[in-house]
Amino acid sequence: MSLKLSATYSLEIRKEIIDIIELNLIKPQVLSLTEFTDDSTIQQILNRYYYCPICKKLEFGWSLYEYYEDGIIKRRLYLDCTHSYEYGTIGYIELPIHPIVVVWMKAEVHSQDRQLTKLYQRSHSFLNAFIQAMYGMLNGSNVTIPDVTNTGQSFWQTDSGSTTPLNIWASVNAGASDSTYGIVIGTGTTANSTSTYALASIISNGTGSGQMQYGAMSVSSLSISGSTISIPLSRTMTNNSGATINVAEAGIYVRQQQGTTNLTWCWLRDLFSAVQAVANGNSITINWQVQITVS
Amino acid sequence: MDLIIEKLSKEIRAFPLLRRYNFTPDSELQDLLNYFYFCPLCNSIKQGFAVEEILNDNGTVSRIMYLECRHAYNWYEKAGYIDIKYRPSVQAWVKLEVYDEKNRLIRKLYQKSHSFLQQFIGLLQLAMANITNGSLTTTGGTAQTPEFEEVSGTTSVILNVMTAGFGAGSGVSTYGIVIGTGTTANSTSTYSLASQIANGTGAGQMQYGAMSISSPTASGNTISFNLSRSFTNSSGGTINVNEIGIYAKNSYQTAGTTPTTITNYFDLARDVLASTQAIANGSSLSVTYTIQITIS
Repeated sequence: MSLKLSATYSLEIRKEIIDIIELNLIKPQVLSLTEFTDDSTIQQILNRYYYCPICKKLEFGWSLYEYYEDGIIKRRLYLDCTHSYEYGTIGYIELPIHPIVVVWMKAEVHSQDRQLTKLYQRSHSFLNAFIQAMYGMLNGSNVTIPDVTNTGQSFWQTDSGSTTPLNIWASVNAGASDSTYGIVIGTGTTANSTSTYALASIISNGTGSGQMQYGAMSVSSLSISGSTISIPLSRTMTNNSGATINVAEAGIYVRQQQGTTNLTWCWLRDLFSAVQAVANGNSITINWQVQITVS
Repeated sequence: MDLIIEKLSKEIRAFPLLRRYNFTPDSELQDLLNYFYFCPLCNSIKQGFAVEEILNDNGTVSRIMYLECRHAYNWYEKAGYIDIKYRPSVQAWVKLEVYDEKNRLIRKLYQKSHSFLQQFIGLLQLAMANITNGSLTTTGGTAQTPEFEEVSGTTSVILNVMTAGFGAGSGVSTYGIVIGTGTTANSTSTYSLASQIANGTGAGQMQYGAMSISSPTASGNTISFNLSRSFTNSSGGTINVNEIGIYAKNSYQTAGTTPTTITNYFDLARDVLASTQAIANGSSLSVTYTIQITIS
């Protein structure tokens, strides 16, 4: 085949493209009725383009929600357009993508004796505070960024002779019962914008009404698989409030300690494609995987 | 199935007209490169990777499109493409502009940046975990501990967590944007350019300008900032640039009564160019990295 990308051949190219798509439309693979799907398989599933009958176009996979119902695991696939379908009912094509950074988020709800749900989705949003911090880092300059209270605070990169030492630069490694930084969860559903600076409605630590008990953060060592390198982050929150809490958002709060002053910025926030109801006595574990692919 | 194909066929669009006598603005190139194209050589659909624009003697601008498979095609107006876009939450772009001895823009290469390196994500991991004794590989290939926090007991405090801009003035080639002649592909263990071009006017050398980093700006739901640097070839011969990267400096003072300043350099990003950029003697090259997030 020696087609050239020119106007002269555009009709021929169109036919070629249609043929290619037709040949490559694939029915999704059958998944287990009794086991939750492993993360790497879900990543493959979400890295595909599906035909959305509502939008009438190809849309990128966004999220897979798995849950028990009638004794089996059922699945719902969410696309980037936010439309959702029962898994397996729409076909896809493989289009190779080359993201420089991908962040995956996983939320798993457990009762005391078993896993109840698994929500796996592509994270959509680093926030303004993150890119401002990256700018400050690369520029070697302190940058004033709205913190989680929407107060402009200086994010330090450099310190020459200050009497206030920079004791922690950008940590998420919070201990148990500390909901002021690390992975945090909330009930808000407000969409992100360039001015989002915090969760819309954070769930605080505790056992009171609307509260959950935060476990300690886990920040694992770098994980290398093929040409991909990732940072796994995770945290478990337990509901002993006496009632069900609907978790709809999660974020990563980063702490900087200047002398004895702790400052906190929200670097990342995601709305769940499906709200996770955590009944009293149950827990939710949030995993985030920040991933680069080297090529 | 037939209905789906019929619908998809309507997704194939005529390409927007590009300027006959002018280089294309960066924002339009970003838009074009996020689409998918049909590669006749691969016989499959590929994402756009780079566009090279060349000023011809008659004043017109010709274009070459590089796809992710690295196949390249001459660019003609109204070529077909598929109206499917990839919208990543984080993107980085690379722009190289070549100016002749009269400071006239004669060539522009705009491509997706492919690779942050292990040092970049390693830095984030050490910081997020608040690990103070971890190590990263320096541009010299040795493992060193970057300092994020002031050393306990330090009397005269100097700490520069990381910088690729501050202090990277003219003639400084140890950090900031750097360029090289190497073509080795990146791997997870890449820690430097394959063959960096040194600062100077000797054979194979180029004169490094000062780093410039713009503040982040928002456009719609996208926020981005640029790092840029110019390089001048006064070596007497043509130099082929094949790779670029971002080196960052971490420096701190040791504790004690006679503190010593420790400085380490780490390669955060490296990109092999879609096409070699030949810089003639007397010409200059401007390199820009754009770091971008899209919020949704």
